[in-house]
Amino acid sequence: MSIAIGICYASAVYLLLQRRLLQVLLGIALLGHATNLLILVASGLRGTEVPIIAEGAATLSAHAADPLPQAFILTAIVIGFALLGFALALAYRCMRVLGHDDIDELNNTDRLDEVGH
Amino acid sequence: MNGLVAAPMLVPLVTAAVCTLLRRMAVLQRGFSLVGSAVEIGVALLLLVEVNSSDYLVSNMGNWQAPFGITLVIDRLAAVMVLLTALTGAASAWYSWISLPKSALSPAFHPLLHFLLMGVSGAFITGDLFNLYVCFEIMLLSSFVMLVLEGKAEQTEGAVKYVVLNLMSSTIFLTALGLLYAKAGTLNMADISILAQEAVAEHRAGPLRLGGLLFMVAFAIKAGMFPFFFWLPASYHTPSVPVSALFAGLLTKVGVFALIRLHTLIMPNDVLGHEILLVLGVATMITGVLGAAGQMGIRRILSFHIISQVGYMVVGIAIGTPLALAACVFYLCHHIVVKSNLFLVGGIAADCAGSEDLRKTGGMWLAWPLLGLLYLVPALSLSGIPPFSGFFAKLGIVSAGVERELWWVVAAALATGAFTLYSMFKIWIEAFWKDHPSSGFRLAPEQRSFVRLWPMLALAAITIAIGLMSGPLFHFCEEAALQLLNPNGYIHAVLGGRL
Amino acid sequence: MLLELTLAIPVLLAVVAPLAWRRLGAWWPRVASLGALTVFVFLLLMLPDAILGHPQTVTREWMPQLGVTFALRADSFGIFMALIISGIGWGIMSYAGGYLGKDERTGSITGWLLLFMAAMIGVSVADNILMLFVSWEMTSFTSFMLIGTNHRDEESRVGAKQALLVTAIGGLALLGGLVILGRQAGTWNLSEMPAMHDHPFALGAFVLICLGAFTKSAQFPFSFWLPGAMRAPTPVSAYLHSATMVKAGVFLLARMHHVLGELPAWTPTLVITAAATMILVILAVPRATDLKALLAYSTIGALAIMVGLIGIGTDKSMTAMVVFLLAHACYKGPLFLVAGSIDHAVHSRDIRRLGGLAQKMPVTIVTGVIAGLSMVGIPPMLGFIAKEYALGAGMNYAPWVAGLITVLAMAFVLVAANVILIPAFGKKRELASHAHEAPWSMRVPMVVISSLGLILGVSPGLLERYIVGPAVTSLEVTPVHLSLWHGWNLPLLLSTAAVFWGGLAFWKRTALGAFCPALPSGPRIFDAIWNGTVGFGRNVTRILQNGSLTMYLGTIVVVACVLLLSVWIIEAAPIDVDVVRKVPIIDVIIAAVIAVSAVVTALARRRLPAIAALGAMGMGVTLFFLASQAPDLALTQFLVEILSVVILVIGFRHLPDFRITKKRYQIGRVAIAVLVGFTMSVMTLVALSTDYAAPISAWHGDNALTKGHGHNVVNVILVDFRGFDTFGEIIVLGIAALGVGVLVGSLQKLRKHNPEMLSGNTKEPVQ
Repeated sequence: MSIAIGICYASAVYLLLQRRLLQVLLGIALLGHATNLLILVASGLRGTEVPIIAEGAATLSAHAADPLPQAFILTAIVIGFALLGFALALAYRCMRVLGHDDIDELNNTDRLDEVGH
Repeated sequence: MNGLVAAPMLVPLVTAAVCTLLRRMAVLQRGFSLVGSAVEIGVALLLLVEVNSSDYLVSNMGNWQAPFGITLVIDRLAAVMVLLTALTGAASAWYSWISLPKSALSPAFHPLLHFLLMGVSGAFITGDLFNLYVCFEIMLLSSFVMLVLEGKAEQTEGAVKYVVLNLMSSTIFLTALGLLYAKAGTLNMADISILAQEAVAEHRAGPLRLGGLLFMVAFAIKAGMFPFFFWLPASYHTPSVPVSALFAGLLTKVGVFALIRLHTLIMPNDVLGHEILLVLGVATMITGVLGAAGQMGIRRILSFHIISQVGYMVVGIAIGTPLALAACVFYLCHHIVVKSNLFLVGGIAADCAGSEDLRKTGGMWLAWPLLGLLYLVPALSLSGIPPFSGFFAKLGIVSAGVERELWWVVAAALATGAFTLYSMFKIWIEAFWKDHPSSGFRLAPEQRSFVRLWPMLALAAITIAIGLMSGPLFHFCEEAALQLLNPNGYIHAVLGGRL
Repeated sequence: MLLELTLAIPVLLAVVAPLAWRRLGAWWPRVASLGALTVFVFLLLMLPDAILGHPQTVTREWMPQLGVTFALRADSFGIFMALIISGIGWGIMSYAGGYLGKDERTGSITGWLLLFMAAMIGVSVADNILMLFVSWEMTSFTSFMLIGTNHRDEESRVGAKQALLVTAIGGLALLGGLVILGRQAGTWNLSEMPAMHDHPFALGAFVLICLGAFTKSAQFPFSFWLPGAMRAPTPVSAYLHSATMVKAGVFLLARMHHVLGELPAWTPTLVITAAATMILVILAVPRATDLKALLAYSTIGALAIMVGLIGIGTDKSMTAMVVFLLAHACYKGPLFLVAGSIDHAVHSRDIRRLGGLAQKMPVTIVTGVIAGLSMVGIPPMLGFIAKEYALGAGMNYAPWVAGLITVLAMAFVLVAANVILIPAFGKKRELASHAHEAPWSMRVPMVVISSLGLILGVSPGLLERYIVGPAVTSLEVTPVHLSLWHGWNLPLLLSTAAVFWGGLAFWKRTALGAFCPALPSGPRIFDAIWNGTVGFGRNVTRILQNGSLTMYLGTIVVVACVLLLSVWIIEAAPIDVDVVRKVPIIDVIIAAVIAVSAVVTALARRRLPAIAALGAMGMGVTLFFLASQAPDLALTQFLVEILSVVILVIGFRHLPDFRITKKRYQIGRVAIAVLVGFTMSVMTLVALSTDYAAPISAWHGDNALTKGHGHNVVNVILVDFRGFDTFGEIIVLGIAALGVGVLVGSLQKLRKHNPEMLSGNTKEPVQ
């Protein structure tokens, strides 16, 4: 699995390094997946049962998966979704206002000697 | 008193919520926003006084005992940072009220301002790494939106870079969290600190340091360090003046703050990590100041200087002695106030002169001497000219370097000072002394209304006060540094019940 | 109390200056000069205590942790310097009133002058070396503001900028030196500082302090800023750039003599620098034509003599230095004022256009002659004594030094003749016809200060007992006896020769001017070096901040990976291979699905397949969550994945399809991607090996039902144990919604109000 994670990261970075804003966005989404996988995998995958306390039992079984990383990932998924949504709106806007989504041409704000106004 | 610990997050939240509701009533919204800022300052002052007598203020959210729930911890550093956050927020809100025409301000500005303050304050007071991540996201997303509020093309452009690079930083942060939890089984900073100390004592801190390094990269992107600072000069000069003043004052400092926590709690005695940080810090100082020297836009120059000064603070963390850390904290305090003020003054000057491009400005010293004096206070302070605050901040870093006999660091810090001075006086000469290129240049009376200067006057007064009372203030910073260098105090305050 | 007042009075007057000038008008400069006179009197009152060896002190805490203490100590040398500053200050304030007349800038100029005066007195009486530095920097800054008085003129701005940069660079070096010195000595007070020459870093501190002193006192190779600073109004030049500020460097070196004077490098460094500066002045003077430039060069020369005398460091040379300092202030100040009066009267300072002013401006010219005689060194002027002792001290050290001083004295003769004789008695020019004598407020200070040079010259006993002797003693050197007449000896011979040859040089000045080579322009060299550095910075920035997001991202990930991998290797973090072997087969299959769809997403040439592959990958992740006993995650992931694909498809309807970039650019990208992938795999494997501690989540499992009242532990954590995170998460969602609203909403507004901004392919950034 860790190799798969590596491949995910590699693909994500490859996408991030492309010229099209859409590809960059896909890269961000992919990066999110890769990170969530990493959190889960790295924390051990020791459990063989779902982290739900069985009916009648007072505590979680010792065989259950670690619930805390799951909670973290859940929060991260939702936050990641919010960020992706915003990034998409930004890309959309970029497209409409600037007329293209080629990030190599987005270098007006970095040019020396030039001031926006 | 511990009930007040969450207030730095809750007050802005309430203010933001009410401001969102009042978005169609501009005057009421602005009024409420200012009242909210005032309350924040009040709360922050109370906390500062309290923390000065009781060292740590700790509150477990939902009363779940640490490290199982989320703990908020305020030590001296956090308290003073919260106060400065509130001050900067208030100055920005105040400026936007009196200096921007109603039409120029989006109704979303004030809610976002307070959401941002909530995220920033949260980052300062949280004692839990995952909660720090959440606070970062609150801060980040509000800053994303604030950046594009006016919808200009260049803002969109700057925002694309800002958003993508900061998302990268968030992902790295999250990855580091995953790795750290896998190793340590906890994300409570005090808890991790215990494990870290044990690991160091038993010489098996290697994996922990890898995770720490990943954190360092994430925070270094946020702090705008070399070679991760690219997002900053690409975007800071594009939003409206109060927004960029807010960003300039606060956002990179959150990164610096996180680096302080990282290096004192999670990576204690990590010689290699400190060396890396030292080299990067010096490189940050130099590249930032070189970048500024070639620029011709007021806010572009100031943006590059943020980078260079982050370098000073990082060097303070990296040297890591009590003196160096105290100097770093002092630098943080001084820099937030001065930098926000410079962006505000620069904004007014650009507005009056009709451009931010130094080649198209001029004549402001004759047109409005008071504004000139108001520029000189933060500009001299930033350049490290005594008796203003920046001199003492620089003196602190230089002394710390001399104490450890790190001559190359001292030389870089001093050389950076010369270029900073050059940039600050380039703005002075071009915008204030030189004649305005258009011969009919004259200020309209409403442009040079005294009321516009109040927020800057307040910040300048703070700068002067920091300079004159640098002794007591530095004493406070030393105490803060001692707290930081003695994680056991922090651990005891958070986990006292369990130990 | 008196000591604090000497600082407080000028500061307070400076603060009220602009307002007071508007209220009091012509009376204001008189008030200001009265203020300076008060300070002078206060200093005189403190002199007896200082002479008796128990000087007044003030100590207030400022920032003791870093060594900054507001510590003043009015010893004899400090008072000596401060008396010069406040005495000349009195003259300058009065003179400025007449010189500036109704000029509306009088308020601000006098304000800055007063502030400068306070700073300079601070330098003189500071005991704490960092307090001295604070004052030092204030003199640099006020000097900048004063040189730029005519800031609408480009050359004034350039002069001000160069003066500031040079002195500030020196100032930074000085700061470094002082911090090293203070830390080594264990005290920050000059009066307590022991001889430091055998401390390990004393040499470094000495070099840095020298840089500070040389830039301030315009020594070679930093001399060039001083002629540029002559753009300032004449009262300013007279005060800052001849009589006082430029002497701060000399003053500092004199103060450092007892601390660092025993260093082997002390004498050679100072003497050689002084000699180089003298040669520069000797070569520059014959070609100069501007009154103020002539005076500026001779000032640099005089400063070089003082630096050299401190370098020699014997009892005699230190005494000579103190006398020279006083004599120079008494003649150079008035000479500048004379030049200013001429300028004021005929609006020119070019000696090629001046002449025949003696009848029109008798008082000015007579004053000039008195001051000029002192500069040339004719008995019984104070300048004569100073030159005799300087020559004598130089003689004792090395004959070539005395020889150089003699040649320099020749140049002084040339300067004095050019500045006084040509305008006064030269051929009458057109300009002289409407010349007029300066008003009283300008004449009185000139006369008083220049006649001091005569009065003190004829009373060397008074000078020795009350002024020079105590001042030299407080430098921890034994003063030598002062007298006007020494009998016929070698210095007198040299001195006479200098006057004679100087006169000859003046007679043949045109030929001499043509003979002397044009020196390379210091300001231009400095500009070239400085602009070169700035240009280098621009190039670095152009490479670093080149606007390419791709490069930014690439740099960040590559640096991060390199750091991580190298620390991994250095720390030898273990990887437990067993973990890899125990992976169940189902995980391997899911992993393969995820990996394949990730790669497909990355390599897709069209957007729909890319989005579809991303969706497939999301499903793979969902499956993996299910297989890893995380049903809540699987459910959330599934829903979010569907939503993401939907918004991606909707959003991208409006965006153009990709263009596949050329292959050769891709290799680098693939390499970076592989590097990142490898690093992250390694990191995951490291994480999978030994842990530090059992996770805290056992507690959560134990307490979810009893304290959180829920069976699903993940849910209890989210809504209860870590509810604060979820709360933050909701806020993030809210802000995102607000953000999308802002982005799309303002777009609709745009569409309504100015649709032309949305046009298809314009590359110009639109407002």
